[in-house]
Amino acid sequence: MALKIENIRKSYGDLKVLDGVSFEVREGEILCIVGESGCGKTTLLKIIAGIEKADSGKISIKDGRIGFVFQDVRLLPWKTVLGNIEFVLGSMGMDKSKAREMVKLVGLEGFEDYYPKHLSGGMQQRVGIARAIAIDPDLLLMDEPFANLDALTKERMQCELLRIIRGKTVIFVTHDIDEAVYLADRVVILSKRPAKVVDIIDIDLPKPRDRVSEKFLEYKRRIYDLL
Amino acid sequence: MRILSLLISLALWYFISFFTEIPPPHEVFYKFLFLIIYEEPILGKTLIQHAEASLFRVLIASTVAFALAIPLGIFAGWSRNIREIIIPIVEVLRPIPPLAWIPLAYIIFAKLPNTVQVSQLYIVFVGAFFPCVVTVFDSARNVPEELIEMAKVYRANDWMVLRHIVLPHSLQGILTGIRVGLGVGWMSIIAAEMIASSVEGLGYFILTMYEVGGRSAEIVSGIAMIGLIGYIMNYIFIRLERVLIPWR
Amino acid sequence: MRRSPVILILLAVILPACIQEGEVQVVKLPPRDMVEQLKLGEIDAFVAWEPFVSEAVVNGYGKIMATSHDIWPNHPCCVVAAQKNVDKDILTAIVWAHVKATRFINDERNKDKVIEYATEFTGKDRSVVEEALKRIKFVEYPDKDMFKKYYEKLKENKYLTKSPQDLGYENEDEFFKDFLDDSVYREVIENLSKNESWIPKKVNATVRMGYLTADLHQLAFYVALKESYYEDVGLNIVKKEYVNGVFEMEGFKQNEIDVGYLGGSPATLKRVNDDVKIKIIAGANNEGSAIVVRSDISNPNDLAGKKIAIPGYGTVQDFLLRLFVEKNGLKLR
Repeated sequence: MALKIENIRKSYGDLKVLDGVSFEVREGEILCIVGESGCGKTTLLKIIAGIEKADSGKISIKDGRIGFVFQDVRLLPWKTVLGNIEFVLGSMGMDKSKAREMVKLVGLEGFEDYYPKHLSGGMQQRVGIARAIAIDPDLLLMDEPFANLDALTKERMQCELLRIIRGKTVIFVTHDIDEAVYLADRVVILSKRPAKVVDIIDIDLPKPRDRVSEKFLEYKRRIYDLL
Repeated sequence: MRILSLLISLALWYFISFFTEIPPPHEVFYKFLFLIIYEEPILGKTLIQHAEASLFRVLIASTVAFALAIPLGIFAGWSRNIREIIIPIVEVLRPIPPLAWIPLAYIIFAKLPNTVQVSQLYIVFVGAFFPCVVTVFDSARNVPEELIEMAKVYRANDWMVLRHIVLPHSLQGILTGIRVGLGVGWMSIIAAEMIASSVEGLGYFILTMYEVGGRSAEIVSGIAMIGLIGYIMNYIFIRLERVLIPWR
Repeated sequence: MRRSPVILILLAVILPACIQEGEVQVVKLPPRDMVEQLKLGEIDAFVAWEPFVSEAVVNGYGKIMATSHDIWPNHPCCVVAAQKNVDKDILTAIVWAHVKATRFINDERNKDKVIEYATEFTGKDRSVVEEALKRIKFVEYPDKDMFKKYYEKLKENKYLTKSPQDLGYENEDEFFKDFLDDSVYREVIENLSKNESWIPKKVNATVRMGYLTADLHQLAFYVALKESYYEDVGLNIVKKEYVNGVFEMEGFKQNEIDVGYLGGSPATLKRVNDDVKIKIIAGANNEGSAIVVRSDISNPNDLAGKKIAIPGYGTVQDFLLRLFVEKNGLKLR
């Protein structure tokens, strides 16, 4: 068990966002958290990452490195692709020479010295992912990383992602049911604000998954009904 | 389009010189060239030598001003505590025009040798310092929160945030601050030279030409030189921005 | 742009400007600053008019190396000028008041009163004023030949940008006849020589009179006011103070004043170069300037490589310095 969260509550002033959220994350699994936009998924991730504090509840997590991929990417505009990856390696106190390898891993070989402004949205997010993976994280948090991309790019990235993050423990937040069913080993369904866990569903399909197969669509229907 | 602007300006100038005592463009143009090559008889220096003198003063005083203003602006933008101490002081002193400092400067620097030169440098310092510190401060203050949040997730310490995020973000502000500060400093030195005494300098040159009389072309040439140098300095910095900030 | 003209200009700017040894370095300063700066050691010497010379000497900031009398005897200094279109009767009244005042000053019997007036007018100490009065020659009309000589020097050193022809005169003599107009003066002294208590007919007019702040040379103006000479001729004087002669000439140009006491140098320079239409109707003083040096400088050769201040380019003091420097084999920078 890589992470266990119990009864997490969080309010912003009078606004109750998380109302007793609990679930486990197993080693090496991809756990998707699905819910409508604004239901607190991002807040939950930030609490897990340690940059927000829950009002109450308990998080049991192994002491380790956490990687975070943001929805709005958040690359440093004044650093190159390589430089952005080296930055986090530096801040985590790790060896910077891994950076090149990571660039290759996400398929951006040749773009090492490009500045973010010269990259497409999809390429920028690849750098975001490369950055998160470079630190060899014990836990990878991804906050709707493909939400701002067009449909085609999104599908391609989802496919590549499975290859890149193979073997890692990942929590992937999204409001896209199709995405969740495609990527996840298990899916945590969150209700509307104030959010509680509605259900946790095992997706028992071999990867890579066929988006139009009957079983795939059945899972989608199940999740949709629960939301 | 730029050529059109030039032609219109010249036409306007000719038009005005018809009705006033201002010398027409060609007269000024010849006088300008003459003064660059030959020494002006009364003061014994070429226009370039006067320009050098003024420029020298501005560059020295401005450098000191920026060496102070930039770190101050960065730290004030970065730390709330520093901001609350420093910024009120800056805002009170900023509206005072550099020239108003002259009498006080004479008193402050009376004990030093070369009081007048030091006072002039001080005037330029004041002129260059405030626009720079304000611009840098503004830039450092507006570092995007998201980037800092990202850095915190990846456990960057304060020093790394300052060096890799705040500083590069503020670079735009720093260059703009220097560009504007130099502009104001340049204006200040000309005025300071007219009021205090100097041996050379563009402000001094213009004033003397006025006092002796009958030298409108020289006066306009001096003014043209002031404008030219100001324009060049500005241009250099705009180009510099493009080189130093390739990611925009 | 590859070969930017900017770079060329930058290169052209790397011109060395070196001070050669043995040259006297000239600075321009207002006289009151000269005294301060001599005291502070910022400058090594200055050339100025009274009472600034005496102020420096009496307070021990420096000593006199040469008086203007030594260098250029009878050189012109301050004058009384008027707009060319001023009414003749008014001019007569003004010149009369001036002559009376000047004679008052030069009369030994009035010595104490004069010192009192001088102290009031300049705001300087009595000791300074007493010293200064020794060196000023209060005159009624400037020495014409010396004035012409001054004009020649201006021409020689290229200070003048217009010739008499540019101003509408046939030649220099015609210009001088118009500029140094002593006709009114001669009439006044003729009448006075016949009858000491002659007063010209009352004019009952208002005259705007310019003068320079605390300038001891213009004492006659103050004396005339205090002894009511202007009142005697029915003149209502509106005073207008100026910081220096250049601004006073601007005042003439803008028609802010009708008559004024000012230095002969801005009067001539601006008359010619800017064609400000005035004429000189009387003289205020000759001489009354000196070269003041720091106490540790004893002979003229010591001035080489030192900094000396003049009140302005083209002034009498400028030429006093040049004459002195030439005579002693030095060069000006």
